Order: sequence, then structure tokens, then C-alpha cells
Amino acid sequence: MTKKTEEHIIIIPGIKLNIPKKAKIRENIIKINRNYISTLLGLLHQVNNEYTIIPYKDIYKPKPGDYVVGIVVNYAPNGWIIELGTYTKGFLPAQDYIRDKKFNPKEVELSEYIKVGDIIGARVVEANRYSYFLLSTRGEAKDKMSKYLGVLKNYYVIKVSSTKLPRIIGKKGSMIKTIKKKIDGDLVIAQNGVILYKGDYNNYLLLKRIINFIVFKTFAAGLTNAVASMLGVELEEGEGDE
Amino acid sequence: MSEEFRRVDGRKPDEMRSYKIKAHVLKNADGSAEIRLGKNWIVAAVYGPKEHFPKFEVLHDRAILNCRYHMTPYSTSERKSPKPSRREIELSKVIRSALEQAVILEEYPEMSIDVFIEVLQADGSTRVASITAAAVALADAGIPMKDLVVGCSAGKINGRIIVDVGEYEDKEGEADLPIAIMPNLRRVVLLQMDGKLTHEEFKKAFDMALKGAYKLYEEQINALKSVIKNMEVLEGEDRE
Repeated sequence: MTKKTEEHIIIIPGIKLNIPKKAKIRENIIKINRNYISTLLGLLHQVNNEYTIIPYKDIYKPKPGDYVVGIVVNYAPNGWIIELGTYTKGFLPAQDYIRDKKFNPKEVELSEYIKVGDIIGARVVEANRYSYFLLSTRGEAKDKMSKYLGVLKNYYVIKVSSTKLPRIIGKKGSMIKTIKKKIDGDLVIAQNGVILYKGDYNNYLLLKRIINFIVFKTFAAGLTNAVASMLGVELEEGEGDE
Repeated sequence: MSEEFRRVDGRKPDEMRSYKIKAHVLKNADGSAEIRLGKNWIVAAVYGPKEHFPKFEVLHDRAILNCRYHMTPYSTSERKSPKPSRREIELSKVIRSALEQAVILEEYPEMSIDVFIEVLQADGSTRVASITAAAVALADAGIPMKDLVVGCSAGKINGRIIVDVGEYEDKEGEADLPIAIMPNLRRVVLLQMDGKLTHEEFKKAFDMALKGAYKLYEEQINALKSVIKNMEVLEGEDRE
């Protein structure tokens, strides 16, 4: 049975945090009248001298370089509008996808390339606050995800909150490595909380069950060990969390 | 004046009605909360942040907080027309202004956050109860906030100052003073007054309402903490 660790304290928005002056503060903590105040409901997490709030629920905020997966919802005159499951949509320029120097939006029928309803994997180029996020399907030469950029077909899709992803990936990828030991196939995790899986249907059902298990137990310690015992996988030394 | 003064429902002047706040009561909303304050039964739901329409209304430096306070036709002893009344429109505005002080709207420019408050059963002091529930719903939705907002009302009936005004006292009383505060930042975000109070009476009523608000704040904290604790319960169910 897993238990919450002692360093995890439940935090309510507006609570004054007992943080030393020289500490580094990270996400979801603000300073008002010399006091550190939490802005979200979650757990206070301390690593060395760094403090952060692990939110119970948060809204995904894209950063340039993030790999995201979305669904095409509309056509713009020069590109596609993509729903990413966050507070605003993404925009994929047609010129970026078609890669034709002589591209002319007047002559090209966009639905011949990408249709409404297609699933797209892309990188965030610009997370401009004042408009849609600018996306690109052009990966750099060393981009590991380059084969997952563009239209993705025949994948099972699981959507979770982006705040749960660190738990699904685990410390240094320990959780995802444990899952991959049992579940073979193509497993892709996008930073907006979309998990894609290509493989056996029974494996997909098992994966879905495990992900739901992790989502419910986000705030519990020793989760990798619990998942490993669920899957019947033996962990090697150094893997898993205390 | 005798010490034995009891109100119409048998309460002492400084006694609150029974209260219970629950967070995360609705599945489909991004955040939700329910408050029971005496016979008041209010549900608040939050959606967003999301794109705001129409586009010409958007604010480029912050999000828009939309708030709708609505009383169901069966919330009062006589059927209430479901269309928004003058009072409901005013209360929606008042609640919005109170919540706007706490929500960090600058995080989401050009977006909007919707707060829907539905009064299922009304029993006086619904505006402060609504604010209390809406603040919990906002926190449950993961909207960044500087502090929670909590409200309580005080009033005057038969020359006595009372806290947590009920429906009868609201109608028959001489004065009514709803307040809402940000308890940690110690700021008042709503202060209205109906009727007349002397300077001393006002001070006393304000202090009583403040004490009531801090009691409700404790309940807000419990409601939000239980959301995280319940995740462990779910895990137990999942195992079985």
C-alpha cells in the first residue's frame, strides 16, 4: 500500500508558505507582501532548495519546442486549426506541411492533404499568448519525434490531464520503462496530455487501465513499484521510487 | 437586554446555521462546488479558461470572468420566473467583482472563465454563500488565485445585531450587511448594506460577519483538502 510522503503537504490557493528566504521558487508560487503564496490547489514539493506546487488540476500552457498531438477541427485560408485540449487552439500553416516553395493557397485544396478529424503530431513553434499557438511538422535532423510529426493514423488515443504526465513518465522515465517492459508496441506521449498507442487491442486495454490507475494515484509515492507489481514486472536495482 | 435572546429559528445572535461545503460535485464541469448553509442549497460550476466570443469583447491583457447567478423556479416558496430578474443581474455583477479580486486573470489574456451559480433552494444570504461556493469551484478548476474568497452576512433585527441572516430576518430585519473577504490577504472584496446601522452597530455587525466568514473559510479548506484525499479513496475502490 502506498502512502503520501511526509514532504508532500496539501496546499490551498492563498495559503502562506513557510519557505526560507533564500529558497528558489518555481511554478505556482507568487510573492505578495514578502510572503510566498500558493496559487493552486495541490501538493507542496521540495527538492533540495527548490519549492514548487504539484497542481491537482492545471491547464496546459504550451512552450516552444513542446511535442503536442491534436485533432484538426477547421480549415483556415492558409492552414489548419488544431484542437489541443487546452485553452486555445493551434495553427498549422499549410506551407509548413506541404513544403512546396511555389505553394499558393488559392490553387491548393487543403483537404487533399489533411482533413478535418485527422490526428496531427506537431511541435510548438510559438506559444504567442495573443493568438493561436503556431505549430510545425518539420522536425530537426536530431529530433527523436520526427517520425511522429504529421498525420498519425491507426493509433489508439488516451487523453489525460497534462499535470499527470510527470507521473506517467516517472522519475528519469522509470514508469514508462516499466510499462514498456510488459506492453510492446508504439507508445507516444505528447506534452498536452495525449497518449498514442499502436499495437495489440488487449495491450491497449491494459495500458488504459494502468494509466487510469496512475491518474487516480498521482499524489501517492512508490507508484512505479505498484504498477510493476500490477503488471507482474520485476524491477532492476535502482529502478522505481522509494 | 436579557442574555437569553433567541432568534426566530432558535439560534443565538452570534450563532451560524449549520454549513457544509463539498468540492468537485459535478463530473462535466472543469470545477464545481456545493454549499449547504442552513436551508440554502447552492451549486457553483466553472468552465474555462477558454476562447472568448464575440472576439471584439476580448481583453488583451487579461481574461474575462463571466458570472451568472441564477435562482431556479423552485428555489423559493412561490414559483420564481426562470428569466434573469433585476436582482439576479445585479448579484451576478456583484459576485463577479468580488471574485475578480482573487483570480489571477492576467495569466490568460484574451480568454474567458465562466462561473455558473445555481440556487436550488434559497434561505437568505444567498449572495455570500454563492461567493463562498464559487471560490471553491474556481480552486477545483485549477484557476490560479491569490486567495480564496469567503462571505458571510450580518444584520439587525429588533435592535439586535445578528450573524448569518436567514430568510425571515432578511425580510423583517432592520438592516442587512453582506461581506466577502480574502482571508489570508485580509482584504474586503464585497461590502453592501441595506437598512440603517449606527457606527457602533456597524462595527459590531462587521466583526460578527468577519468571524462567520473565517468559520466558513475553515470549511472551504476542508472541502478542498478532501478532494485530494478522495483520490486515495478512489484508488482503494479501484483495487477492489
